Amino acid sequence: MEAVISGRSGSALLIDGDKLHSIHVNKPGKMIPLHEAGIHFLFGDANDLSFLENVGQSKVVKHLEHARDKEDALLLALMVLDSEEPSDIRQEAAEVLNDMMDSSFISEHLESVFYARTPPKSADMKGAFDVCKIVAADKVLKLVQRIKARETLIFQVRSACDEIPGKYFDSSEDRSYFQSIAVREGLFKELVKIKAQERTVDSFLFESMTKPDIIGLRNYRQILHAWIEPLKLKRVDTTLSHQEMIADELPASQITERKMKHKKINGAAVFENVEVQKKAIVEAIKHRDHARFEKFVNELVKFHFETGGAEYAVKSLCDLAMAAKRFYRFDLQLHLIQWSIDLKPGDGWAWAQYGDALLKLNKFQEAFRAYDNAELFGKALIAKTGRAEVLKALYRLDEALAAYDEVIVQHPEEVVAKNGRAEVLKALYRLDEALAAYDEVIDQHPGDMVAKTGRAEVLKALNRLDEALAAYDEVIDQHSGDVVAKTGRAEVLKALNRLDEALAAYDEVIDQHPENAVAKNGRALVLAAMKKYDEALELLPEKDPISQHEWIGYHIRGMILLRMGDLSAAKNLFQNGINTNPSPIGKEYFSTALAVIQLKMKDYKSASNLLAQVSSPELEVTADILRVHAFGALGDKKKAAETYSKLPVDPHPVCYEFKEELRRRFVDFEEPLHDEEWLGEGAIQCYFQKAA
Amino acid sequence: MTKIDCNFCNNDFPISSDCCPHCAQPGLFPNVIVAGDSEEVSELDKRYQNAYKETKLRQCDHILSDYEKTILENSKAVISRSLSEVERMAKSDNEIYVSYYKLIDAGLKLPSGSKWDIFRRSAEESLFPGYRERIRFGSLSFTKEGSKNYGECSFVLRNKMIAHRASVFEENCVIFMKRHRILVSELDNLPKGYRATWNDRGKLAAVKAAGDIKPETDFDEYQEILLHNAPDSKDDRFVEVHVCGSITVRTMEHVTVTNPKRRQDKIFLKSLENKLKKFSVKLEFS
Repeated sequence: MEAVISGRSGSALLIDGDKLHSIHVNKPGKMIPLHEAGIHFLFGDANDLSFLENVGQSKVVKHLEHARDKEDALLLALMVLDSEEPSDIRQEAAEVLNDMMDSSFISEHLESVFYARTPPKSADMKGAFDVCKIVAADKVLKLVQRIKARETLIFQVRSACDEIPGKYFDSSEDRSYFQSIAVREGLFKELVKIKAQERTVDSFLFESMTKPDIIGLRNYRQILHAWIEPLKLKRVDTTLSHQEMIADELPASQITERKMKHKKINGAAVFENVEVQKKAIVEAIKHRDHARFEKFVNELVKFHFETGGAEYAVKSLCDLAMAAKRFYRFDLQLHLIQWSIDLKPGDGWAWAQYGDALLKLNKFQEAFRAYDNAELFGKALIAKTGRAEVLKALYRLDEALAAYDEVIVQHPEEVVAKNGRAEVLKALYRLDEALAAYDEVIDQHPGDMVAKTGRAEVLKALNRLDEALAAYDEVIDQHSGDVVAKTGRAEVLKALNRLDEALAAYDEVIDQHPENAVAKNGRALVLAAMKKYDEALELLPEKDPISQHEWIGYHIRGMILLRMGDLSAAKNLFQNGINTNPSPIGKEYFSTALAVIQLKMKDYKSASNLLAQVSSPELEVTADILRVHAFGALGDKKKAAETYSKLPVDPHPVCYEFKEELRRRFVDFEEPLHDEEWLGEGAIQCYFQKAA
Repeated sequence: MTKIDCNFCNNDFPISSDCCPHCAQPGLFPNVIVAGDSEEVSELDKRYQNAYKETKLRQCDHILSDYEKTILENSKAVISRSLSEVERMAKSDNEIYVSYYKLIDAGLKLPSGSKWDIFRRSAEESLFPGYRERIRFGSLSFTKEGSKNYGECSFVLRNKMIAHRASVFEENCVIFMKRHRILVSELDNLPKGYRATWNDRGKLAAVKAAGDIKPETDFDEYQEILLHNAPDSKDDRFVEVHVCGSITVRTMEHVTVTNPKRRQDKIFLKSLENKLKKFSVKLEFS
């Protein structure tokens, strides 16, 4: 006979020729005669109908019970996420659901649904975690953690589905129908998992084309291809691919095999083994040996699973991520942390590291989310300071200051927040306050090197260069390996025009840390000051900068091209920087630089428009100098004079003379001492001096 | 009747549309429009007059009148569903539930093949061309319980939330089609006078009950006359209610539920109870 089943209504209709019966899940043994007039009452509004052919009563009952359990499980899961539900009900729901999830088909069904879209804002994930912990609903907890951890991937897979071209569907209803089939057949789940494990999506195509409901759709091949196209792995220079290592997602047979292979290994021997492997990986990172890196990391993770489990693998991955960060390999840092989060979605420390890596790569919104997760998983303090860092990078300095202040009020001993606060004050050009803030930190934490190098930075910004040099020397005396102090010292030497010493200082850093972008950028600037432009350019990125320091290097490249007189190349570079730099302050640097070119080319209107977009305190003086030029050349005497009156006294000979020429021409209307050509060059020289 | 004139711009548009495609004024409820059609009203009226003539001859027209009055004053629309489905309906204004159920609720496609014809007929649009999926089916009742064959939970709808969008049909519409041997080709020309708007349900119920009313019929028998649940559902007798549009917990006035045994049903019931309290909906156990 044939059957129509609805888990939602808890009923099944059995069709045996002309004879109809219904079965209800609460009384599965009882077949109730049914007239066809009763069918529309039997199923009500239920849309979850499945149609079975050539089945007997027992099979129908089994299907019905499964269908009903799946519906119940989904409803219970949603109740766990629902903040409007009283806690006791949520807890009971979590308990019952946890027991139901002993059946794999329930877990799979829930993943099929929850991986099909990101949770709405009203979903109370934190409340769900708390509830699950209270009643020890570990399976539900893991499910919710995974949903949270994979939010970005879920979003990507969903977006790719939504963007399948409309031409493959007959109507919007047809598209919706495909999506509902895709949910029910677990296609979203499969794709999210494939992405999480960085496997190729080709296996997905093969699997999905074996499902009758899918291949029954018109244009199914084109639809599936269009769906996965934007999700295909882009090969990065690490060319990483690793085996499925998520232990509790391994098929049972593989887990058994692993258990059988497990030997009793001495703890100390394991530790030593791991340390040796990690050392080899760090060497591979240092020498950019991607093949060895990939091989060794895979082996290390495998070793951990054989000897200790996911927890230890996560720890090693986090340690290696920190090492990658030290070598400025933020891409590898990101990758390693992503892997560790996949293994242990509830590790707050890993999420905090993830936020840090994303911040370094200028992925600010994702960094915010990562820090949100870090807080969710118990690392509230580091999450708050992390968020403040992101705010600072976005140049939302007042918010960043407030964020640090909040942390300091709650955790007065927290030195990271205090240093962060001082750094924001410096970014706001409240230099005296910044200095006082660092002094206070040093008073309370005399050994804190971050505060000491920060203080030296502020002294340099205040142009108290000898004091800055002394401050850096003091740090290096106490910590000869402090790279930040060494590059800072080199910078001061450059500012003092002690170029050979500056070069030597940068070279010393680069010898020990060839990847140090700060040192490479600094060295390039020194070489440019020595007019060794080609050597300088070799150190700098030509295209596609990612990290903050790479963007700075890219900007320096533009400045050098400008100094070399290659206006066209410089212009293209700066325009590209404006278009693609994700950092607001970064964009302003490129806008200011492009304005310099516009002034040189006598396009004063464009220069004025560009400078109108510049508002950050650290560019204020530079932008104002250039504005005087633009306003004056456009004939706006009033604005030129007002802007000039704001300028501070500038001891640097290049800028001083440039400013004097601007004053003569556009403020006091005296006879100019230099021609237009000089003025254009002067803008370039002055900008170079200020921005370098 | 497949088209109506817009009250605002006077252009016609399909009866099943949610709004006028010309001026976007909201559409009315197609089942109510059809039931209120002048021909339907006129035919029903004729049957109504005949029903009273006939019962007068048997000297029980006063009982028919009392029955009609009781229908108008006391009858409600009752729907039976599973407990989890009612719990779901109670959450239908909550974004979390809506978001996820929307993923899996995208329309139904019946498989092809003659073995599914019997199911296909029940899903047909015959009486509701273009708006079948908007119609919820219930029955008219004086009590608060519907048929347990269709779910362990029954709920009564608030009159003021459905009066404007509900219509009644003299019997189960599928049985009606069979009884009158109506073919697909005749759908445009269905017999008139067998449906009514909600406010005229008394008339329709009276017409249907006239043959069962006797001089000795008393008040206690009214429920059985109005709604009879037979062991075989083909023998069920009731006035079918068609409510157009969605039903949420705020549409409900009263819920009756059989005491659940399964753990999850107990949780659903607790949650439902909690929600019903917020909207002053009574919950009873049977």
